[in-house]
Amino acid sequence: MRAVTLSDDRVIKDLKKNFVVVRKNIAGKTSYAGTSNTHLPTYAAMCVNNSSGHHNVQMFIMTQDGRVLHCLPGFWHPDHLIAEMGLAKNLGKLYYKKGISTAKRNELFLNMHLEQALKNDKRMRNSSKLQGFDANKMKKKEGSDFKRTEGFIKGKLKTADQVMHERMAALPFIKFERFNVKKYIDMGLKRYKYDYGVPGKDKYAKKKKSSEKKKKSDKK
Amino acid sequence: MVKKTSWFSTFVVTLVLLGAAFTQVEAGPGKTRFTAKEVEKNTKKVMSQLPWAKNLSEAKELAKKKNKLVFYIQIVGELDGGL
Repeated sequence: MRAVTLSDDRVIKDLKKNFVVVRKNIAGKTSYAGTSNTHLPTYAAMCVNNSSGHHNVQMFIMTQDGRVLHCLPGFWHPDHLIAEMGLAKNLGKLYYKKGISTAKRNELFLNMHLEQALKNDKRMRNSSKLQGFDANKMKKKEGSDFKRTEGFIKGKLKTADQVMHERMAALPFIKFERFNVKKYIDMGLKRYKYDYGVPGKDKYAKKKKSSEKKKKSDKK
Repeated sequence: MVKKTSWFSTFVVTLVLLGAAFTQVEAGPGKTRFTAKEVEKNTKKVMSQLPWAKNLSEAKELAKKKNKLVFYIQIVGELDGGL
């Protein structure tokens, strides 16, 4: 997140202009906090699919009184985070709009989330495919909302961006304290396997090293 | 000697070029990689350029004063340390 998304100039500009930023370390503090290899700021990193590491990172966008407008679980590419932040800003405007009934406001909240899911382009959907281990878990899980039950692609798994908006649509302006994070981030395994850059565990670095060794020995 | 190209191969090449010009590639953002030095630099940027509030209640108060929304990130580990 820090190496790719939060450090992106466009993300920083948007966050500084429209949001008050705050962070919290949830290690050992919540029942849903995930586990993975410890990744230091001195290790290399790479872009992964949107929502990867859903149990390790959650980004909430809230109103001034703590009502959740949006929640993005796991990693999100800067292009896609910016798009989702745009939706959250519009939902914020809706929350503070005067002369509108609660029922209408909630209905519009639902519509806006579902419309955003429809609007998400192929690039976003391709980047939001569950990783293999998460997809396997969701395929096996009975009644999972990741499974398509209608249409000609019945049985296939939906992408994380689609499920995220469907889940958010059902939680209009819910207070953060009442937001069921554990249920919301149920997108696969609690342990996130991210070895890239971790010394001794990074398969990519090992491969690179051995191919360099081979090149050297071929030259000799 | 100048070798003559058949009209058919010219036609095929033109078709391929036209096809490539009108096809929109919609791949995902890809597996962009960042070196350790870049990660370190970007981490420092996140910590220094974003004005982090101390906690959620302070963030809500500041959001009220500045008429902004709250962006709350909860993470296993420290943003400027081990994640």
